[in-house]
Amino acid sequence: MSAVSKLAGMLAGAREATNQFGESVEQLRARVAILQDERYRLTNMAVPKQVALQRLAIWLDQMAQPITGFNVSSFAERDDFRAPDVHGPRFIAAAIALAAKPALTERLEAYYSKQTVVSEAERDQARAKLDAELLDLELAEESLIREAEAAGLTILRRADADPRAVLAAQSSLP
Amino acid sequence: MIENDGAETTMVASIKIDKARLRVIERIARRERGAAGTANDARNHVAVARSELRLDLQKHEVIRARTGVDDQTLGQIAGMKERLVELDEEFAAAEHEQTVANERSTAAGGLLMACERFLEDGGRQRP
Repeated sequence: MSAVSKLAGMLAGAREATNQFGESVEQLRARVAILQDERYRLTNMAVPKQVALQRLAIWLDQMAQPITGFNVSSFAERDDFRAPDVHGPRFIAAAIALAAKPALTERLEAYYSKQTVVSEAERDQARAKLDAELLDLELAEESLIREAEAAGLTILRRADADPRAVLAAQSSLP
Repeated sequence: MIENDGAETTMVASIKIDKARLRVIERIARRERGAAGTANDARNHVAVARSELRLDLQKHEVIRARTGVDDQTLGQIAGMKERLVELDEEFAAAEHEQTVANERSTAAGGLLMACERFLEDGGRQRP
C-alpha cells in the first residue's frame, strides 16, 4: 500500500470518527431536548383541581366583599338614617361575582375534565425521574465531547448544558 | 450543595466537581470570542471594500454620463461590476460566518457564565 493510499485511509477513518462523534452527540442532544420539553410540560402542568377551585372561591369572595361585608344595619337606624355611600362599580362587580360563582365554578370543572392532571407528589416524582435521566444524558454528552477533544475534534457545548456535567471530574463521567 | 468549598474538587450530589474544568470552559469561551472577532473583522473588511467599489463605480458612471461613450471608462465599469458581484458573494459568505461565529461565541459565553454562577452559588442546581 502506497503512502498516499495509507494517508487517504487514515483521513477517511478520521472523517468517519468525526461523523460518529457528531452523530452520537446529536442523538444525545435530541433526547435531552425531548426530556427538557417533558420537564417544562410537567413544571407548567395545571395545579390540582381542588387548588384551582379554592383559588376561584377566594377570588370570588374578595370580589363579593362589598356586598357580603356590607353593613345593612344602617337601614335600621331610626333617626340618623342616611343612604350608604358605596363605590358603585365595586358594588356592581360584587353582585356579579356572587351571581357568577356557580357558572364560573362549573366552567373550571369543565376545563379540568379535559386536562391531564397528576397529584403534586406524582408530579414531583416524575420530575425527579426526568432530572435523573437528564443528568445521565448530560454526563454522557460531556464524556463524548471530552473524548472528541482528546482526539483533536471540537464539538461546542450547548449554552444550556448542565454545569454539573460540564464541570464534572473525569472520574464522575460514564 | 458543594462540600469542601475552596478545594479544587468538590461533591455535588454524587458528582465530583472539578473546579479546574472552569478554566477549560474559559479558554473555549475566549477562543470563540476571538473567532467571532475575526469573523467580524473579515465581514467588515469585505463591507468596506464593497462600499468603496460602489462609490468608485458611481464616480465612473458620472464620468461616463458627462463624457459620453468612452471605451476606457466602459471597460473599467464592466470590470468593477464583475468585481462587485464577487464582493457581494464574499460579503454574504462573510456575514454568514460572522453570524455562526457570534452564535458560537454567545453559546460559549453563556455556558461560562452559568458555570461561574454555579460555582459561586455553591453548586445549587438549576430550577
